[in-house]
Amino acid sequence: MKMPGLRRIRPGRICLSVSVIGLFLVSVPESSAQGPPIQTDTALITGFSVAARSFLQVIEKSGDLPGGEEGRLSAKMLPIMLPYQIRPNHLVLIAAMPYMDMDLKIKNGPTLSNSGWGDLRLLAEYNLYQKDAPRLTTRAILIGGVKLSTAEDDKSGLPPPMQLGTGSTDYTVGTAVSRIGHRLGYYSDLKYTIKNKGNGYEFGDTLNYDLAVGYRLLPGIYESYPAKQLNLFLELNGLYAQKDRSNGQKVHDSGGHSLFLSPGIQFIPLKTALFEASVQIPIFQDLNGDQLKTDYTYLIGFRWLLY
Amino acid sequence: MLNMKISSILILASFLWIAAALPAAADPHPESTVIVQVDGLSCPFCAFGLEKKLSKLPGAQSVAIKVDQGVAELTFAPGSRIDEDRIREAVRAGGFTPREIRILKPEAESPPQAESPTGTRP
Repeated sequence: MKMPGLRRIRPGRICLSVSVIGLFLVSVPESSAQGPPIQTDTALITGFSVAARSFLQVIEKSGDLPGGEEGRLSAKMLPIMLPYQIRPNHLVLIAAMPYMDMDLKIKNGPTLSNSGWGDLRLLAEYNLYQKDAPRLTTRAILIGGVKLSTAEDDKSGLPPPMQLGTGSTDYTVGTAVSRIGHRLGYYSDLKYTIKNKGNGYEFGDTLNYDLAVGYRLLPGIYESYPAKQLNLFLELNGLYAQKDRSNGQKVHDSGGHSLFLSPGIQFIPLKTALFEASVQIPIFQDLNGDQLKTDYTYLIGFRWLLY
Repeated sequence: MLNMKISSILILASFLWIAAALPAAADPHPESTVIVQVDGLSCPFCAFGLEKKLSKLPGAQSVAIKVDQGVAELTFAPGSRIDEDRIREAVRAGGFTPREIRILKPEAESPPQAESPTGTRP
């Protein structure tokens, strides 16, 4: 089923749009940085990039469910992320655990609900490359992570995607590269997650790729630290997922490729506090078989520097 | 004997008067200002760590980070020993790259030298 109002946009057009916006930002006089991007990882592992973080993410999906029935999913996630700098500016560990609240309304059928704490995720970020110049830094980090099976994963009557946990131990490897100038910042990341079987079901491996441009709107000239700061972001967030496997068999109605355009805003009022909001608008969704498609997601959150 | 006492009092009074008249800059251990050029200081949001590391340096009284200029300006307490290596180490630990370090001597210790008419120092 095609989603009303959701057009497929050719990748060429997306690239052109991003290039035009990028050129506009680059051409702003006295272009000179901003906070960490909201959806994309930053390679700068200092300051707010490694602050304690939490946000409310609301995900709205609708369309055909496997089997052809229509459905609508409303999911809310509230992760808590706590960093620990093992070696400042070189190695950081982050523990993250989401609180989840999901409601799946099936047309002419029941509403399935589940809520509680999701699986614990541990991430490590290692500073791989750093080149600093006056008012400019270029950095790259290596990302490694493991998701443990800590949440309930076998609540009866619910399909695997509606469970709080996956019942599996999954591994993530990736990298992030950032180039941050005085007022503009460019960010990218690439992460591959190897998913394993839990309770007879194996979610497909995923590849996340993200690109972001950040622009410090205010102040125009940042004289002395600290000063109140307003930042704008434009991000491209891509997700490619392989098909799931159930008892060794590929699940036809699973996996696919999604691309989101994510404008965001960030306000830094204090040395130790940051507030941010971002909307993810799907611009390309090529999902296998019958699956719910994302209508939109939005995120409202804060970061707090502990040390 | 009386003359000697009067002379002594006069000498002491003169000494005290001269001492009182000396400017405060004559303090043998005035505070020092250090300006550190910090490369990579492009993001104000990450200056928090740098400020904390520099503030922990022995004798550091204040730290001002001038993002637009890419410098950190430190003030050290009178009598503090300024260790450039430790400053560089603190900048690196804060996540950035230290470049030139300038120690601004107080005027009384190093008065500015006058330029000669030809532009060269006498």
